[in-house]
Amino acid sequence: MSKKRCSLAHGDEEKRDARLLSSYTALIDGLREIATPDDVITNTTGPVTVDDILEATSIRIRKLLALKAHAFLIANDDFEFEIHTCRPEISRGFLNKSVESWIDDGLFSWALNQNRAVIQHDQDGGDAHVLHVITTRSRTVGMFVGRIAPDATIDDGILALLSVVLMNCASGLESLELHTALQQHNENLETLIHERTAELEIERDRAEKVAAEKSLFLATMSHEIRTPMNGVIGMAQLLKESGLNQEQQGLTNTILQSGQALVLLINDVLDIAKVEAGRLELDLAPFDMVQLFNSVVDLLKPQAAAKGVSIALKFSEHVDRYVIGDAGRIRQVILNLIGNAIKFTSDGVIKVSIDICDQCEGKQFYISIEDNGIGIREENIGRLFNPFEQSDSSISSKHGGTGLGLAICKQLIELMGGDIGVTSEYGRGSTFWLTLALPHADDSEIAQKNLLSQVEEKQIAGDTTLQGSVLVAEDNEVNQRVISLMLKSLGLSCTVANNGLEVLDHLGDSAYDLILMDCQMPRLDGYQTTKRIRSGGDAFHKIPIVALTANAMESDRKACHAAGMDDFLAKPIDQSKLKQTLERWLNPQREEPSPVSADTIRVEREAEPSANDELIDCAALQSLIDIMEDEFIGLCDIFIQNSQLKMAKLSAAIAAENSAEVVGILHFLKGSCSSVAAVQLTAMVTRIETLAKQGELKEIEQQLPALERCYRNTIDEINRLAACRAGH
Amino acid sequence: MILSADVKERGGRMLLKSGVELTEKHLKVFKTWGITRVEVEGEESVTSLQEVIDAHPELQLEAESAVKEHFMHVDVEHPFFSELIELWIARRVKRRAAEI
Amino acid sequence: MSQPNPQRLIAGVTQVASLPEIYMKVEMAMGNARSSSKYLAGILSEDTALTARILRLANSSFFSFPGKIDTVAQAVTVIGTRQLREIVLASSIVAVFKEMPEGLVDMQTFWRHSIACGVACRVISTHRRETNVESAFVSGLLHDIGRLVLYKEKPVEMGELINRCLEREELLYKAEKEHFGFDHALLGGLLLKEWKLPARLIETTACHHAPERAKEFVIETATVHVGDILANALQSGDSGERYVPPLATKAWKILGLEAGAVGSIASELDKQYSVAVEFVLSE
Repeated sequence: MSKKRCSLAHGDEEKRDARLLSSYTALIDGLREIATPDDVITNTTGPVTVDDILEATSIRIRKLLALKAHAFLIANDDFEFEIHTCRPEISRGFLNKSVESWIDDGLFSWALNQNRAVIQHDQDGGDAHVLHVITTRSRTVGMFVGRIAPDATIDDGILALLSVVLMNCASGLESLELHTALQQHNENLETLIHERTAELEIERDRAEKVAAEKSLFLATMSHEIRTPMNGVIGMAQLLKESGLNQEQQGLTNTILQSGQALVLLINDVLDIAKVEAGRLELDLAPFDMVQLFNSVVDLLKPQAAAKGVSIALKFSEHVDRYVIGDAGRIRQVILNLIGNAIKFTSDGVIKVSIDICDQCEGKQFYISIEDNGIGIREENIGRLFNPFEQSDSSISSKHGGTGLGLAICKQLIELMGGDIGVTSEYGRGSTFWLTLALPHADDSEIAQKNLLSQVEEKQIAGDTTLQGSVLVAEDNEVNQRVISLMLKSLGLSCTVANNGLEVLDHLGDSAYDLILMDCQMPRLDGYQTTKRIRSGGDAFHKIPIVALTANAMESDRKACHAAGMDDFLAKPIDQSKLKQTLERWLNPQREEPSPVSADTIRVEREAEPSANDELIDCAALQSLIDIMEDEFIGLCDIFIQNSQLKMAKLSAAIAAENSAEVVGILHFLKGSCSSVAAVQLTAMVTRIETLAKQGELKEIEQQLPALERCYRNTIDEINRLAACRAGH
Repeated sequence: MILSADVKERGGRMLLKSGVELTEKHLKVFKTWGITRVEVEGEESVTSLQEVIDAHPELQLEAESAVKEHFMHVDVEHPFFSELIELWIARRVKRRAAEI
Repeated sequence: MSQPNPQRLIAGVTQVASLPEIYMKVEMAMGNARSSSKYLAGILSEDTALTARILRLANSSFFSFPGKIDTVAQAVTVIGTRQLREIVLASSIVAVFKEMPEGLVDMQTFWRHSIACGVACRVISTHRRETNVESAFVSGLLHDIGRLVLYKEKPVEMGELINRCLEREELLYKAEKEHFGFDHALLGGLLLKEWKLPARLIETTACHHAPERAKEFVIETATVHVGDILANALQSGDSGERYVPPLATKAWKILGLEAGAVGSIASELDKQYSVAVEFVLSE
């Protein structure tokens, strides 16, 4: 290194230093220029565009180099380069031509593949150009072209800075592209979502329509089927009492049994359909588990005995006897399961055990029915609870059955929030089990109910004679015949109307004591007719109207009540139920027709609020006393005890603003009061119950004193009557 | 003329897919991007490696055993080496085949 | 035998060889004037042999320039001033060693490997869109310079080591380390440092077998590391290393290339290799 060193003359050194200094200064200035933050974002108000980025880049480059003109070419989707921005604009055509010639002679593509500025000198001494690719590591975005003077030279450092600026530009453009793509993607997504939502809405509307159609179908089928069934069974019943010889009795019995079996089957099918349409409503009320099981076992005992099979019923001591649930349907399930057990067993014992399930959450019943019958094959167990499937078609022919039973049991139990299943070994036997969570019921509620059902039974057995004239509105001839005969056998006179218009005509002509109104009639249906009767100012506008309907759903009851009807009989019409209802409404001592209750009418026990000043409906009470005889005192005691308790809880609940509890208490009271025929109290409680349901606790508070007064009076009256009775 | 292979620019972006009928516009694009060679249908392609191997299977075997020696100190699983070795074998086979 | 002192070995070279004048002049010109390209062209024109070679190179597939380059000035414009500086440096260093007598090693073969490495580095650098790809060329070219020192100063021992590596199937640079206490990479770095060459070249040379040791010029070192492996694998020339050296995976990752790029790098290497050989080895 030492031998061949070059050295400059002294003057040259000064020149060199000067040049170095100016070079250095230019570089530092250049760096400063490009190191300032982007003006792009702060300048524009809208979203950043390609123009914005190129404009900012142009400004920077102009600070670095003196250019006569310059342009930015961007590669389009077809990979062709087009001038996007050109300064000055008039140079566009000229620059385009230059670019064309460079593409032609290969300079353009060469410059595209260099990663730095390329200086192009014109052979003819014209202006020179700077070409620089605009590229990121992954993508070539475009090309920068600048025109300079023919003899211009640019410091290497400045060219390096140009590379930096254009690298930034390329980054920015790439980001912009990604940003736009992302936005587009989001927009597409939004559109997709809107479309999908619209689709889903259409589907939902359709599903709702289908559900509504299903409901309508159920209602119609219900009506269509029950109406003729009504005829068959009703007629058969009447026929039985028409003085037949033994052979004829036998035949009639067969008709009756077949009809009843058919009704059961229809009920099964409609039940399944209802559950599936989500239309089945559980009838929750307090009941006695022990009694339920006992009654089922009693019913099936003869059947079991005939097969040489016995039923052993076992209650675990932890089991809660009094619970709240849909007794009728639970009974249906148990009946089905034990019935099946008998069907498929030829000897031995069927063990029915009721226990509390330890592994389940909360207090749940665990009920199992174990038999040592023919058992079920493993491959069939899965299908057992499917509707219309029997594990073996040969079984149906031998043992009978439609195959619906278990499916319904499953649906019902699951609707109640429980579970059902089976374990079995083919040839050894099966154990059907189910779990159910049933809340505890008050002892007193049960006891009262028991008494009441006893009362009802006795009422049916009793031979109370009725008087009065009944107007029957019914379009079906068979039904007309049935009802007329029933009424006649009860000692009542009746007139038949075919539709609502005829009803109104008849009412205009003569006086009637009661109307039996079919809801579905041509020309003017039951609802409309009732409305007209009620809204008219005629003397008969308060006549008792009992609805005859095939629809047993809550919504229909509400419709009847809303139209102004007083009571409700379900078809097919049962003679004893008809009698009960008529007895309720055809009280010969009653002069004033009863006003409409403000609450939903329940079929069996809803007593009518009276316009009477009577606290107690003496006649009703009297018949109660006659039936119950000595048990009447016990009933009074129960009533007094329970109602006192409830009244106390009532004011506490109101004070605590517990609407739900208030409603519960009032509902209970209403039932109790009506069963002791405390009509005035019942009416008041009913009114207040409505208020409670609407949450009008303040209003209730105001009415509380009046209620308490009425209550005290009623108690006094009851005690008096009891004492009278005791005195007899 | 119909392209028989994809044309990509240096960065790897697809300029034109194979199967496209070439137009003047396409040729200009090739010029712009510096694509000097493209494969078109009908052209007699250079003897493919597969053809060489089929003709001289022993060369493939020889090359593969040579790989074991030459690359014994490297991780042949690494993607860089798997590519490189494939290339190495191909070149060796071609070279030896040319010598025959 | 005690291990030799690397400084002493280098001294053996630097005492007899120094970088040619042209290199110094070019270096000075680089920092000299604002209009460096013209000035540089002027300086280069003084060396006619070099000019001729530069023009040949400028017109070759090394650059694939559309159109003919007739003057150095044009060459300077096309190739780029900083780029040309690197090329002159490459030429200068090779010239130093060409003057040395051939010993045990066939110099041509050695340079072929070095040139192949240089070109491989250049191609990698181009793929990565680096601005000055010629500097990668130089780095690649000089990576094994330390071995030349060993061949010159310790010919017998090197001969033994090479044989031993063949027998035992070992890597030569590891054998060097074991035997001498240092390898040719370290030695090369020391030499370039002695010559006051750019720090970049020093680090890439010293760390090309252990790229994780590079502190400042991490990418450049990784490039040389990979370039060496490629050159070795594709067997252009022979540096004494019989086996392909292992890859430092981190270095490969840093470069950010896809494995699939290997194919196109290799074909570019083929294209430019002979041109580079012609430039570097011709008189």
